Amino acid sequence: MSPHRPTIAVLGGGRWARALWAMLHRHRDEAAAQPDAPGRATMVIDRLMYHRPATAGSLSTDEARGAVELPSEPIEQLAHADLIILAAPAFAVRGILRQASAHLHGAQVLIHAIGSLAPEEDDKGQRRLLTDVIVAETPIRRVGVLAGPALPQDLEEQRPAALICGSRFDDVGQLAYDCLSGPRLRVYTTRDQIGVEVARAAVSPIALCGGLASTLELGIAARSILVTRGAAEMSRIGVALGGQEKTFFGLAGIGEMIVATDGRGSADYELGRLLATGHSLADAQVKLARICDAPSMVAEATRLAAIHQLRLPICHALARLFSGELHIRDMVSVLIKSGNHAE
Amino acid sequence: MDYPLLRFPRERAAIVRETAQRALDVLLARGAPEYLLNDTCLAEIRRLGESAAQEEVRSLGEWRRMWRQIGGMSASKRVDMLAQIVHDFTEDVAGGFSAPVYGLATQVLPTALGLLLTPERLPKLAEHLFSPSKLLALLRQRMQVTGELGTLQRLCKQGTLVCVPTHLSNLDSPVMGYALQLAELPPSTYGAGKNLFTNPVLGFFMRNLGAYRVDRRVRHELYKDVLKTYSQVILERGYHSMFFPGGTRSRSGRVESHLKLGLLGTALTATIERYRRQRNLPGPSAASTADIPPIYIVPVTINLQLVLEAETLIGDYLKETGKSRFIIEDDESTQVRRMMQFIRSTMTHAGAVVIRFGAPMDVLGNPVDADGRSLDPQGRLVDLARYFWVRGEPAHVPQRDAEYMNDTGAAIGRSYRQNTVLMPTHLLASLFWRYLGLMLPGLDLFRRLRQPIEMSMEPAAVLADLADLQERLRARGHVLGPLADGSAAEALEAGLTAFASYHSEPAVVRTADGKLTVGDRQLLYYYQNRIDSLGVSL
Repeated sequence: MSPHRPTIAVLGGGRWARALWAMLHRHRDEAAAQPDAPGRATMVIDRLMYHRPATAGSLSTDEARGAVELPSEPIEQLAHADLIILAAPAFAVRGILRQASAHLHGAQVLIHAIGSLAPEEDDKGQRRLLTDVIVAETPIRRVGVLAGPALPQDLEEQRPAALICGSRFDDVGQLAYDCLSGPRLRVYTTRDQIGVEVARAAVSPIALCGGLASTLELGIAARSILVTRGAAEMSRIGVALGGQEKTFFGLAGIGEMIVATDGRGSADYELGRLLATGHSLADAQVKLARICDAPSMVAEATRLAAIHQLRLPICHALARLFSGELHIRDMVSVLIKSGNHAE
Repeated sequence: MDYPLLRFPRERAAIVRETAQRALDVLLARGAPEYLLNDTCLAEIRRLGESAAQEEVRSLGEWRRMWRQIGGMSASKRVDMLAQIVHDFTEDVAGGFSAPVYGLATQVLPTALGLLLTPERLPKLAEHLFSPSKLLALLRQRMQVTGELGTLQRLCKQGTLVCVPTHLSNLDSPVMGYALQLAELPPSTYGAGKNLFTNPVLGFFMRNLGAYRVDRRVRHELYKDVLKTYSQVILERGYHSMFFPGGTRSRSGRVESHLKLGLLGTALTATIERYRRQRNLPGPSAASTADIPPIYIVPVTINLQLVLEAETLIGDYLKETGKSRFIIEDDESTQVRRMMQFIRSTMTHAGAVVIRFGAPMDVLGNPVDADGRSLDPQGRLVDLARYFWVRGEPAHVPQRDAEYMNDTGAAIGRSYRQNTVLMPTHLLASLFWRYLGLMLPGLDLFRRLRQPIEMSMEPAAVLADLADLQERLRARGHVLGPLADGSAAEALEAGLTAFASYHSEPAVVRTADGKLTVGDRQLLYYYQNRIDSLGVSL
């Protein structure tokens, strides 16, 4: 009996989607050379490029919401995919899913690789996990989340990297392992779907702080403190939402934070660098012209902190910084002097 | 009216046979017979050593004797012994159905209830006996059945309904039985606690009305496998079923949110089996190859103005002895006088009991349309079979299916909250519990229950708060019962009258000077929990 070869579709047009797509193509070629090797994708549906209509305006989330058009021909191929990997900006997710969902069905698995929460749906300011949006917008139930210290350039240059797939369903984790793991990419699995999703989304404020710390030349100890205490802080949010604390101290939490604070060009890191040079948040965002998740994540974190009585000193300091209440030069001392607490 | 239970007497022996064989296969696939026998015998010896026997499959002495024999038996003898035990437990579980008894029950029960509900007209007893239609009309005033009845009447002809009601009282089973009749839905089989069968009258009716026996004191895996297999077999054969997914009566009065999905999971496994049979894939039973009808889950809320066992249940909950008294055998439902008093006081008010059938859903919790087709969250048709595919074929995957059931349980919980019908007693209790909280700030639950307090509320102030609460509940889409949906003054009077008509110390009372105050705070807490569990903050 020949091994099962799942069909995989990558939804998204950014660098991360392209890197995944290229890696899956390599896997397909390897599988063709080894016909008996199990669990390798033999067919990868070409990535489904979305394009932003000219009327979509700037990159602001509000204006861009739903302003996504998918080309008709490849999207129909989605019906044949066993696994769909969604690697698009959060603002585009709902629009993509609404156009794609007519071609989706309950036998499929959808794993997203997006480090953000879903955009606000209404004026209540409440944001949802993207996996919840996927389940609400499509017939697909078996969903997962990819996270971990693997950057697009790591996949492109085939440098050693690792990802973790969080899913309530064991077969989703197994499928991610079968399809994605290779000689240079190790894939771990966990049932803590919520933990992985929140950990990934919660990296952005820490990346921003990494940019601040770098520009202010605070040193390696500051970065270490930022990562470890950032993981502790974000784990409180994750636990409040139903995740497990230990996930935040693994690949999806600390693993991502180490990479995100390393200065390899993430939008949030660059935003932090601009803030450190005296720009206001609004000015920095305009100058950067890239999608940054940290401001909205900080807003969501402070909202959750009020509901669940969470101590989130980094997020609170960032919120004060964004609002202009706290000057950048005072931020470090505010954090250092934030009272005596047992680790 | 034609309904599946009519053929149960003809099929009973085959059902027992199929259940026993399939349960045995499951057990043998899981472990060696000697271990299974050892575990079962020891569990029974321990259980019977600690509690009184109650129509047991075997006596304590027999279990001890069997346990001693296991070591010296041949392998085939062990399998035979295991098969016999499985068969005996299956016989113990299996229910029965008698069409004449059902006919009698459908005539006698409403008439008896109707007479109880019209105590003011007892002199006209003879007249009522000769005009049961009037009695039925009266009963329908007191007990209202609402919800998606048209859809259910249609779906029950093409598929199997699995009703999953909320659970407050031991009266819920007969109440649900009568509600099905009022809703013009077919009778269903259901699992009932074995302790309820000890009452000779109740036991007689339950044995002949499709109830199967669930002994919640028996905890070993063999028994659980027999129960689940029995449930699956009857669902596969198209018998409408009813489970109380809360597992036991809600001790706190809250709408259930943590559901026990074990038996309900048999609806999912039966559905996968349906799709496997459609493709002629091998199944657990060579004997059964008939088509399995589609299965629809129907959340039902049982909404009571007063709860017969409220005092005992909340007392038990507060003592945190819920586990040790998992099966309460000495509550108000065992006291004839209290029960009669309850029925009269509760049911002399129109709309004192409301049974609300929620929208039907498939086994994954997806809504279904009027034709029983599954819909996704956006209302588009979906192919349910595909959710169970493994490489293009339907297959059982235990971990996946357990997660699917968690989703179904969540969907049932949402339906419960949407379809809970709030009564005046709930509204009044909710208000006065808040007053207590305001007068005793910072106190924990138990101090709030015990701290002495002088409360004297002006009726006008209570009416204003009550109107505000009604408005907020309506704005959130909650359902107010017929007595709670009128003016605040009507709801207040209905609540006070109801509390005073049954409970020895009402939760809210009117004092001699016309003011209002709290009475039994445990009852107050119990009745306010209904609204509290809906997430309504006051």
